[in-house]
Amino acid sequence: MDKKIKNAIMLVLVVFVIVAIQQGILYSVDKSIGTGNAQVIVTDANGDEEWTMGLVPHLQTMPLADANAAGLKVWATPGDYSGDAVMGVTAAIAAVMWIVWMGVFLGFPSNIKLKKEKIIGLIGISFVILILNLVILRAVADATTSLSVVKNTASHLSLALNNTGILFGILLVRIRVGGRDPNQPFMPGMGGPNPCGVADKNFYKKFNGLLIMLVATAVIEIICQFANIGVPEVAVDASVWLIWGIIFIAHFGTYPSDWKLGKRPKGIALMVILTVLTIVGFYLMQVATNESIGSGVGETRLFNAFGSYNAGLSLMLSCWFVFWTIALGSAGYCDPGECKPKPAETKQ
Amino acid sequence: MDIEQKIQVLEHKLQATKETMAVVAIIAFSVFLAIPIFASVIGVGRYSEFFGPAWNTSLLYSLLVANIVGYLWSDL
Repeated sequence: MDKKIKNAIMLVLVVFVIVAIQQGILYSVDKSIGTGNAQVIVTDANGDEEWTMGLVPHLQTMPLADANAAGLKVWATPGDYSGDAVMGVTAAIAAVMWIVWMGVFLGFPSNIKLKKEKIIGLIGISFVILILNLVILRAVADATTSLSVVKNTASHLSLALNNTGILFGILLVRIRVGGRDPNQPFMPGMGGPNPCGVADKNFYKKFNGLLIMLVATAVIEIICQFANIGVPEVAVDASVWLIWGIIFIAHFGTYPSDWKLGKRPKGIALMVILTVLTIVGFYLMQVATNESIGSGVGETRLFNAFGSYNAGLSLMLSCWFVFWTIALGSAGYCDPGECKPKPAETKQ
Repeated sequence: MDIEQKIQVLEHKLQATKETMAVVAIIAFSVFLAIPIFASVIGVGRYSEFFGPAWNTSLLYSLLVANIVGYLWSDL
């Protein structure tokens, strides 16, 4: 087997293990609260909330009805940490974050270079992610009273942590912390030493391709909404489709003529197959755990909340498309292959 | 240092500036897009029934900006 593919399989397996551990820990925190209970922020004798350094709340678990009767501020209810009702989606975002950190930033497993800057960057970024999320949580805690603080801030805490992680991971790569090979493009379709099949160097052609993709993915989102497979928060649902559109053209080329080059048709087919397999896997896990872990597809809890059994399917598709596009890029399925000589341009 | 080396150093510096500018653009656009999202949380205020995964949404739009800037500014 190709060495690149072997490395990519290794990367995906390690990412899945880390995601399982991360989501498992958050899931156990959810379960420790207990159904019908809530974590509330402790108040002192004067009725003031207790915060350590103004950022970390003092929490206490009690029945939700008691907390509402006493007028205490609810920090989290079961499911707010890991998002067990839509575990398929939260795990997808976590998987994207860990593949960006492990594969794109650290270069795991083939060209891992643990330079001092990279380690300091990783520690620094973890600290920034933690502090930034605590600051936002504190701001939202002071501004809103309805529902729980975590739910009002980010739906589920793991989504906020992992989205911040992806964003800062991308920023670290962009400012070249720890050095980056200039011949190694940030995304496989974005140029580099191979002159053919790269993203078009003409800015306006690229810009047109980008706008077409944004419109196309918006149409996908509209279809998903009318087919009742999207969550009602269209902003969240649509933005992941838009992100996938850009990641797709950055990996496989801007126009359909680029998508036919080299290994790319195989890559696109694999992206679809692996995404479908992942969704089926999560559905089986949902059936096996009696809907304790939700996949976002065919789920009673989603029907009770949004009136559609498959309300998470649109997010499942877009999030896992993003993950598998990045994974297949590292496996070399975005290579445009041998460069065919282009016919000489004739001036008329 | 001969002139070629000097040009190389300049090229590296230019590249680094370009990348830093891209990051500045990403952060600026993210803040710009996050203003209405946060205003909707804080502006609605107390005793509201506002339900919005606000911070998460603004992060998703930041990711959109990061990918667009990365794509457009690549290899130009």
